[in-house]
Parts: sequence; structure tokens; C-alpha cells
Amino acid sequence: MPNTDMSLKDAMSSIDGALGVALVDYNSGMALGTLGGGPELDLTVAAAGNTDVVRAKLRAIEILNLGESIEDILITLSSQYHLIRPLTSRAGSSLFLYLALDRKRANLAMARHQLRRIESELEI
Amino acid sequence: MTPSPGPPAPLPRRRRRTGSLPPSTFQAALGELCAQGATGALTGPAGSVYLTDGAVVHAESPLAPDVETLLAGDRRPPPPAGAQTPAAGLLGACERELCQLSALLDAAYFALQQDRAPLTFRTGQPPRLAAVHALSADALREAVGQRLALLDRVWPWPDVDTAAVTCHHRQAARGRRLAVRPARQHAVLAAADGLRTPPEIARLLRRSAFGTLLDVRQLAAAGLIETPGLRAVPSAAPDPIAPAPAVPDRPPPPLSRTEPRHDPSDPEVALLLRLRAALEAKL
Repeated sequence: MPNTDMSLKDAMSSIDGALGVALVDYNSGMALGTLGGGPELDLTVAAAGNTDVVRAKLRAIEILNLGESIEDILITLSSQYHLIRPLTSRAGSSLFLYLALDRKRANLAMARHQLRRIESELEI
Repeated sequence: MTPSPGPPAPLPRRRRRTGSLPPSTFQAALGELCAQGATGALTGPAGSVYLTDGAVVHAESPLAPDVETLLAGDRRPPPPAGAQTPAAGLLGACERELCQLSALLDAAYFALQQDRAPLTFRTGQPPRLAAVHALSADALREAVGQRLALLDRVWPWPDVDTAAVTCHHRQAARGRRLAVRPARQHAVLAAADGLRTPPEIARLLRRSAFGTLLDVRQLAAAGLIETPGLRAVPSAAPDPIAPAPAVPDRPPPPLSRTEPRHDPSDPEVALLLRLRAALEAKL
């Protein structure tokens, strides 16, 4: 998977404090690509667990009928940030990018900006 | 009549509501081929899975739109017949990869559930498209199992997936529940002409087949699409006070037609039926 793999590598190398990144299908919870992680952060498990978060929020936005889409979802832990970015490219695409960051080293604004750039490169 | 010595008739299987995919002959064959490190295509009537050195690299199904259909979908207008995929050369390689992954999961959903279907394996058959992502048979089985569980959590009536989709006009006309539906589901409702099945609607709208199944089940759960077996009976129905046929065990969904007849177009009855379905799904 050269291109999407490269995007994941790009995320890990260009985003300060990145602990791991995954490309996940939120209909099945399957991680289609992961990079980073480790014994303290199993990205496959995180991917499966976070699909419920994404689905619940997408559903809430639909019910609210705001006519808006989700750009990203931020979850703040005591020592980490988890950033979720649904990919909105095509009908039928049910993918999201999942990024775990070290709170001490990460710059949240920069991380969001970089993730937005990586998403746009994935889609064009 | 003496019992024949052949294999025993298969027991009726209940759909499991959570957990993994029920076993099928296709999965058994796939697992075996993966374990052998085979290369080739395992094909049944509802789809093929392509293997390279024992890893799943591609899947196709006549019930799921292919990559070209998905790529041509959504924001672009449908191309005229015979025309090439619009701006095929301009599409990003990444976008193609993402579509290919979606198409793989979509087709695998139908292919892996094939049970007792004639299967063939052609050794060395390469996939039509270059492989993007290799998956193990276990990972694929788990992903399909999760998708099935998700559908059952929404509305545990699997019949909805294969039946022609009929818009429930009386409910839709009230507009109450329709208003909160996303535009995506409005398009599905507009395509529901009482003849097309969910996979046909997916192809028409150039969308993921699984995404469409999910939309259809959500619409059925909201009472906007008729659920087969829950259909209203003609007004000349038998006496509604007649006792219900005795059912020894709680009947699993989908409802059999021998159940007491309800008029599901009545919003109160529809609500009760949905509540019961939700409760049964939790038990």
C-alpha cells in the first residue's frame, strides 16, 4: 500500500509528539494501516474501540440536522491527545484517520493542521 | 420411509447477534487456502476472493459496486454509457487505493457469507487490479463479522437486505421522521421503487453496498421502508381477535407470517414492534 502507507509515515514524521497513527474503517473497526504504537498503545485495539465514537458522533450530527460534517474529534487524556478525522471523500467511504499524541510534546494546533493536510493529500 | 444414510439435514441456524461471523463453506475453504499460502481466486456465485501467497489482496462481488463505480460516484455526474471513468488519470493514487479498500471490504461482505454454494479455486489467477493491501483471512472474517453485528444492532431483520426496497409512503408522507434523515438516506428512499434491492440501489447511486445496507436497515427501523414479513395485511384480514398460533419458543426475527397480524403502518404498533425488536436484539 505505497501511497496510504506514505501518508501514515508522513503523519508520524511531521507531527510532533505522534505516538501512533491508523487508517480505520468505521463500519468494521478494522485498521487498514497502522504505524507507531507499541506495547502501551495497541493501535488495532484503539482503532476498533474508536469506531463507536465516530459512529455515535456522526449519527448525532445527522439527527441534529445541522447540515455540517465532522472535521475532527479531539479526546483529551491526562497524558495523551487522541485526534480522529473522518475521511469525507467519496460516497461509501467509511474511513477515519486516528492519531495518538503525547500531550507534553504535541502542539495541538499544528497537529490538526498537519492532519488536515495529510487528509487532503490522501484524497486528491 | 427409512432415513437415508447421507449427511444429516442442516439444522436451522439462528442469526447470531453479536460476535463473529457464522461459519460458511466459503470461509472454511478460504481459511484452508490461506493456511496453505495459496495464490489464486476462490469464486462462488456471490463473489470472489483473490489470494497472493495466502493473503487476501482483492475481492469482487456481483452484489457490490466495483472500484470504477465507486470512483465515478458521489460528486461527479454519472458518465455517459461507454465513456471512460471521468478524469481517470487525474484521480489521486491514494483515492483509488481508498476506494479499492472500500470495494474489497464491500465484496468480501457478500463473498464470505456464501454457504453451500459451488466454489471453484483457480490457481495463479491474478486480480484484475494491482493489490493495494494484503489482509489475513482471520482479519477479513472479523471485519465482516463486525459489519454483520452492526447491521443486526440497527434492525435485526436480515430479510431487508435482499428484498426489494419499498418506501413506506404513509409514514414518509407524515414527514416527521423523514426530516431528521440525512441527504444520503433521502437518496436511498428516492431510489426505492419497490423493485430494486439494496445492492441494486448501491450500484445506481454508485455507493458502497454495505453503506446502503446500513442506510436501508436504519430506514426500516424508522418505519420509512417496509420490512418484509411486517407488511400490512389487506383489510379483509381474518378476525384479529382470533387466538395467535401457539409458538413454543420465542420466535426469532424475522417474524414468520403465522404471527398475529398487525398493521405496522399504525405508528403506535410500529413503535411497539421496534421496541420488541430492540429488546430481542439485546437479549
